[in-house]
Amino acid sequence: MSTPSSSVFSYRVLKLKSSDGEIFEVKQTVAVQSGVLKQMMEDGCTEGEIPLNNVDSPTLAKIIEWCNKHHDDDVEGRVLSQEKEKEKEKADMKRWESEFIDALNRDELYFLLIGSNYMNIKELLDCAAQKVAGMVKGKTPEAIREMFNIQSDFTEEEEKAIRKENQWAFN
Amino acid sequence: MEFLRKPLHVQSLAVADLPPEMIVNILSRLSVKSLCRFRCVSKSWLALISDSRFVKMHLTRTQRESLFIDAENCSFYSIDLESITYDVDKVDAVKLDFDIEGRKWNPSKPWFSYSNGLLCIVHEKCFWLYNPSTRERKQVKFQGDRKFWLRFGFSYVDSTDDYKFVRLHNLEKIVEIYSLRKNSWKSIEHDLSNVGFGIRQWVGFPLNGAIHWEFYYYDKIEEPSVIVAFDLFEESFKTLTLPNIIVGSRFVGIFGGCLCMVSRWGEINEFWVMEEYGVKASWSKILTVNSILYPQPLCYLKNSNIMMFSTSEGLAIYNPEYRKFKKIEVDDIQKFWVVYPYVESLASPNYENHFTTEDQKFLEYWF
Repeated sequence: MSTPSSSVFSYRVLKLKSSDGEIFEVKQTVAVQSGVLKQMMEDGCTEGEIPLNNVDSPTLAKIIEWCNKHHDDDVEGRVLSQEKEKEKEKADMKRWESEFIDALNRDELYFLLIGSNYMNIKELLDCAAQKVAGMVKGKTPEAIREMFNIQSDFTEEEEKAIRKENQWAFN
Repeated sequence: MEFLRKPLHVQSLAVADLPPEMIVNILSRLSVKSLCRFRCVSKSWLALISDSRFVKMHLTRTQRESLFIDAENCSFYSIDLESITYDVDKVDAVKLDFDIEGRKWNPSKPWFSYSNGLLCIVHEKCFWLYNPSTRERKQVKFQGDRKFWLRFGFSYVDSTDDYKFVRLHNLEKIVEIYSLRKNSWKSIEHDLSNVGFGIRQWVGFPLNGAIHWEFYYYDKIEEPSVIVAFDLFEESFKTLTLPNIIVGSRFVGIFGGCLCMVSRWGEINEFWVMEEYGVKASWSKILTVNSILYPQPLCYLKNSNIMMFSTSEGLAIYNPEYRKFKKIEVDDIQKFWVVYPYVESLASPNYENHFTTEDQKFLEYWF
């Protein structure tokens, strides 16, 4: 897989502490995908354990799995691949991403959303948000109210009017 | 750095527990149709889905393109561009619910323009702003008795989050400007001579908050023609250069988010784009094809270099890999002329429905 890099820096690790107290060691070159951790590295405040109080250990394990997969470990040592190979790699990654997201149950998905938002990992947040969007899109307003625990605050007349205005979207 | 927040002591989560900004993120990925339905969920959802920040976020995130078509039967149609690939021979068109009563088909009328989610349709004594995705529309009547207003333009203006319509008088140096946000007209003088002779295209093309026309120095034929652009924020004209081509006819337009120029000489068609706005050296020729069907570039198919064209015989796509045009039949429509690519959007032609104080209260939850 990976060959030793000339840079010692890339093998320095961060110690991430989940909300339930578990420690995860992550290479700096992997952790840099998190906007929050990247900022902390730049500010030089990554000594010791970094508490991530909004991310529990199963979620953090998932997040690290994602980041490891998306981390190009050995850029220097690799010959630039051909256009076709790149496309294949891209397609393989897309497939891996959808399998990764589809395998999550709802709780895991929501925790992952909160975790990736909190750690500012844009691609993961996008992927998880897209998945939830797919779960929401075909629903009726009633189903949305139930799902999001919302009470309608329209009066009867208001609701009638707004529904009439948007009737076409119900077909 | 603030990374210590309240721990989550819950074992199970519902989508309802997600913070508002995340719900906004999720909703901004949905189709316009789903979002129009979700306006009926609650007042705060209605306010969010109408808010201009959300409309913008949604537009940049989804980028779902369609084609707008004016057909010979005097109806307007829409074609989903995502249904088109190079392997497709025939596509479906959906009839839109918008008509201009009593009009007869004329391939050069009404005049159309499109900017940032809204179509502008100019017809005799008024124009309409129409969003084919939400079906919202608004009619704006022209004012005054002066005749010979023959150059039009319509564009979104990002800096003021407004849409503006302009018309230029053929003989006098007057431009009338309508602001959708203010819902009012104003008239100013400009410094461009010979609008009537110099600008041959009736409808200008919107880009970067300005309307662009090819401008031709009819009294100084040795002068190369240029692009004149009416900046809707500055409310004044500026000039942009065209590539140096001596022969043939020229048409200015928009392609792939850039100004483009089609030059024709016999059956030779050259397509140029100004890759960097306002930079003369960035004009580059992207394609030369031989065709007598007046191909006009419309857009690229999503995530590809396959180009969509309108021609005198209908729609065609061009695959640069095979260097070939291929005709695309449109189901049920024999003859049509005006074709515009547009992006599915929540943009509303009825500003006054929003921005009420009550809306502000419901928006606080989201932003």
